[in-house]
Amino acid sequence: MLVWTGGMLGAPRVYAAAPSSATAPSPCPTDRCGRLIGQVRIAGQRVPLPDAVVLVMPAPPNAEPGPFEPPANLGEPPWTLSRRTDAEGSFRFDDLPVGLIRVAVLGAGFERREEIIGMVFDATVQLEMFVPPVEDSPFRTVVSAVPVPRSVVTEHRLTKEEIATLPGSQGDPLRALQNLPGVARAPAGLGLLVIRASPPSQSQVFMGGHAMPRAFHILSLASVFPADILDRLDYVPGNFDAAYGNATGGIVVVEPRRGRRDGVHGFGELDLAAASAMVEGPLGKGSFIVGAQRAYIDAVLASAAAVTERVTGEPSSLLLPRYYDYQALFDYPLGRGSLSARAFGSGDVLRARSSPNAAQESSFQFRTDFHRADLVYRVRHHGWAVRLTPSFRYGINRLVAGSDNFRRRRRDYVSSARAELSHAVGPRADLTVGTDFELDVFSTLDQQTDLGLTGGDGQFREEQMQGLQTTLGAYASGEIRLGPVTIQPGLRANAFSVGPRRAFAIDPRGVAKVDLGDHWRVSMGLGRYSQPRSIADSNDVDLIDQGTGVQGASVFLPSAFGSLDPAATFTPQNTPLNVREAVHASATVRYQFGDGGTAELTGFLRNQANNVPPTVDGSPNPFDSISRAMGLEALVRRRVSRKLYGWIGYTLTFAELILLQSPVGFRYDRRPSDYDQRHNLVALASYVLPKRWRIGGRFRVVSGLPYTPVVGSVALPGGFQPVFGTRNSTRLPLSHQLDIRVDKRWVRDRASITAYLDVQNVYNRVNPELVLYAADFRREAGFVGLPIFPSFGVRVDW
Amino acid sequence: MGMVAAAGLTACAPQLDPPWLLTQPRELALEVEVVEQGPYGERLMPRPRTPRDALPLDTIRLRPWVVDGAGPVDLDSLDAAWWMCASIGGCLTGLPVASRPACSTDQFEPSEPCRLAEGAETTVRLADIPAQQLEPSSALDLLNGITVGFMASPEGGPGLDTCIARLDARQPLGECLLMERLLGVGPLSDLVALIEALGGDVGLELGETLLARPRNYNPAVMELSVSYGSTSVRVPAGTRLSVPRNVEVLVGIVPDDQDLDSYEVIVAEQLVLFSDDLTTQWWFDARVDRTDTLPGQLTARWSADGAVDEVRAYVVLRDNRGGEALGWLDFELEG
Repeated sequence: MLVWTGGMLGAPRVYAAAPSSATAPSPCPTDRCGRLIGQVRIAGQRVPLPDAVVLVMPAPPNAEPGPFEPPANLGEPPWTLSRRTDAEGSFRFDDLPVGLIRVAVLGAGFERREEIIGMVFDATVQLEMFVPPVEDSPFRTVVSAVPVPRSVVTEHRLTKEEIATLPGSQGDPLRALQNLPGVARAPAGLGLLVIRASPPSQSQVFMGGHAMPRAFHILSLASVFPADILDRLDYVPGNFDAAYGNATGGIVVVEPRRGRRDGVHGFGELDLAAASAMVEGPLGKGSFIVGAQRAYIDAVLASAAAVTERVTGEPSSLLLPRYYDYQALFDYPLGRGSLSARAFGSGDVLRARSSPNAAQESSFQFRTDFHRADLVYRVRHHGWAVRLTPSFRYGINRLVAGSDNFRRRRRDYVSSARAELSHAVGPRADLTVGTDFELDVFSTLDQQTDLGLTGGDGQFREEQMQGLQTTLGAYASGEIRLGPVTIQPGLRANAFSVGPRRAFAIDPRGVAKVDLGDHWRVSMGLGRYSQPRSIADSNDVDLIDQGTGVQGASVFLPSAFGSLDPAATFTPQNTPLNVREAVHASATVRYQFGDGGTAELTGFLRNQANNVPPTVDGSPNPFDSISRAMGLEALVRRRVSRKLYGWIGYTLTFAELILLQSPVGFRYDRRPSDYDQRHNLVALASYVLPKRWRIGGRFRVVSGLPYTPVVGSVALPGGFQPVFGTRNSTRLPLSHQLDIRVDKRWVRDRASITAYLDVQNVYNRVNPELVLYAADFRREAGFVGLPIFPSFGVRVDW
Repeated sequence: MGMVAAAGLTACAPQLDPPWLLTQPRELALEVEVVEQGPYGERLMPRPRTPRDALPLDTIRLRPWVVDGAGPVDLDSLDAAWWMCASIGGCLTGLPVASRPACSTDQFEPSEPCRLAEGAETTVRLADIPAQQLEPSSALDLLNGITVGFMASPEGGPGLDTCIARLDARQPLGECLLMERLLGVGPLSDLVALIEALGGDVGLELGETLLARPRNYNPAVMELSVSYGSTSVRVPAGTRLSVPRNVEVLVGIVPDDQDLDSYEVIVAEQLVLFSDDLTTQWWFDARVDRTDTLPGQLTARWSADGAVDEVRAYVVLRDNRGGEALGWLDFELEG
């Protein structure tokens, strides 16, 4: 017998299990009996549910076969049989009477489900039942390998739930980081990693121990990898471990996860910009994940342009972005360790769409692709933790412009590897040593047809180059635990080369942590960080030219917009290879709440010598400079319950560029850096409502970026040439906006469906992104910003 | 996302005056005329149009056309000055203006920007070619022409010295007027001959097409066509005429052969006729409804509703070698 309390239908019921009724007399009074076998699975995931209670009892009068919801006044059944499902979620009942019976499934944390089925004499009825969880999180926790401890002063980790449900990020893992202190709000809310006012190119994203050639797709619309393949995403704004080099800003460390082994699962997702899908499951003793994403915004824009042309009769041409990415991961246990094989790839294209009425079709195309394959071997043996990961990457950049008169191409064949050993040195210390390197064999091709200016034919020129570019690092870091004090010294040696040019850097780094009781911790760090200056010739698209006309006005962008412009590097130039050298200093005071929440306050300083190479004649470069950033970061982060999480983050930043060679008395030798975002306040929360609704909101207040004003203009034949004021001497006004996201999930037997609506700038404030001038640049006409912007998506998980 | 964002940005743009609406003083054109020929080049014969291209030791008159909502501004009311530079586009915005020396009288093309003259309308005798400008690199620069920059403060404005100080400090220029134009040098054949006669070397072979090109003359706005409904007339520039409201009016330049500076050259044994390309830029002193969409055409389409009683349409006619002229028509709206 089972005893349960009353309650609403579907509500969890407290019950006490009785001894199996296998010992009870069979309810089948004659030999006219049938058998019932079945399986109970979790709805939406199809995963078997072990240890669920299955009850069988007579069907009420007038019941029909199918799903059954018992009315409140239903009396006690004359008999009841019960079983528990086994590890496979299976159950079996023999000797059940012919006719309609009622089957009910109960499981802790799951909704009750009932079904009316008909039993047939001497036949076996098979039944599969799906039970939805009552309070579910679709975001599974995967127990991952214990990571090697890294020395950091402050580090933030985003969970998959947070990445997927943060308002305004559309589930993008790197754009979600913009909600954390130290990461600036990017222009137009797009994807850029500006960490403590460093240009994006001076920070790095590491995936599986190897640097990603780029973090975002073209126009910074999305990250080159989805959140669904991630096990961990750690953001370190400064003072990062000696294991990571070739960056002077901050780093993001991403570790892929292993595929699920509890069956084959996957998802498909559609939103305004792209479609994505993924499949994962067991493979022998291991598991696999295969996924891909493809954007179709080019098709949307092309259709819109075609409609516009038909309506207006005017030709229109525009640039169409298109991107894709894919991931394939395979994990397999190997002896005491594990072996992983991974493949990643990404492709981005920006091409010109010409009007069908255009006299000449534009041949402009900008393309950048990479494809990478990694192997990862991890093992722990006799106290040693070993990690070996070789990798190979093929990359190609291509540019066609000027009616096909101008073509550039660069191919990169990059072999890289990381090898790391960690071991305890006594009970109070650990030591990690490692090396990482990249060997980039590249080839470039430049083709150009010169247009004859003196009446001759255009001359075709072609130049090819091959070379080798290397990055080599060797590092050692340790951890010494002296009671409440932990000291983490580190040292990294770097060597860089491009062809015959060489550069070296030694980066000592150290972090100290002091635990003051159970709740307080103080961390401090000081270290040096190096990155070689790129000497490769770069082409960008100039997506929005300064002075672009918009409805009779002229648009000017703050310099920070330059990081959004698609760009690619091609041929190395014959200039010295210099290294940027930054000193990071930071300190954090952290309080840990009893419920796991944290509050922390960090002060930071980054002083970076940019080491711009001297001019051709050997004299100091007038643009040689120091970049300096300092400030405070505060974060209070809480997860009140399984239903509610949120945080408030604030960043105060002072960032400037100091010219080293300006003449004495020159008034403009210091200026705000392009990313000097003085104040950045983010407050967000996400709450799970009943019936699988979720609502989240984000309120953000951000200081405007510096920009160079236009102070007037010079009239030229047919137009006006703007006269610019001092670089970054003016600032856009303060911005604030509210974003809201609503999710709704439907759990069906074999799949679950999630739909979301994400509305950015709910109260439609015009937050200044661009400066607008009259067409003659003689008046500043105002600022322009993005209006309220809804986006939505649908995802099916199975 | 970017294109969607651009569409969204457009939707949020504040209302602006159209760029062709004259509401404050604006530098529309610069009339350059050789008023006295120097010793070089083929002797000029009187023609209906004024010569624009100059040679060393020619005397040129610089006359800016500054127009505001009330019409052409009296040049005597402007506090103005002129500078000379080697190239256009940075003549006024390169090195600080305040510290520029006076232009040398013996250097046709200045080696550094210099102060040329005072006052809005001025007459200047161009310098001769010195020896150092006979080197191939310098000679090539001469062929590209020299640039004049004009800066002025209108009556009631901050004054020229303040405009200069603001420009040098990169502070908002406000009402200050700035203009640059390329001074044509030619005919090229006469200039090349002069350089070579002085012992210099141009440094490259100029095609026959360029060497045959004669001296450029300024176009002139003499006659305009006006069409609306079934009515089509031609009127002299400066005429006042009536047109109906809410009816599209097509106004256009009627150029003649004197504006085209045509010449013939034998190219690959074929006789080819070359002419100047003419373009226009239209301005209005009242808010009308412009319906033409392609810039540079010789016509403008517009209509006016009940809010406008009178409108003046200005046109700057340009050839592709720097020649400019200004004209206008006055319209009364009826109905």
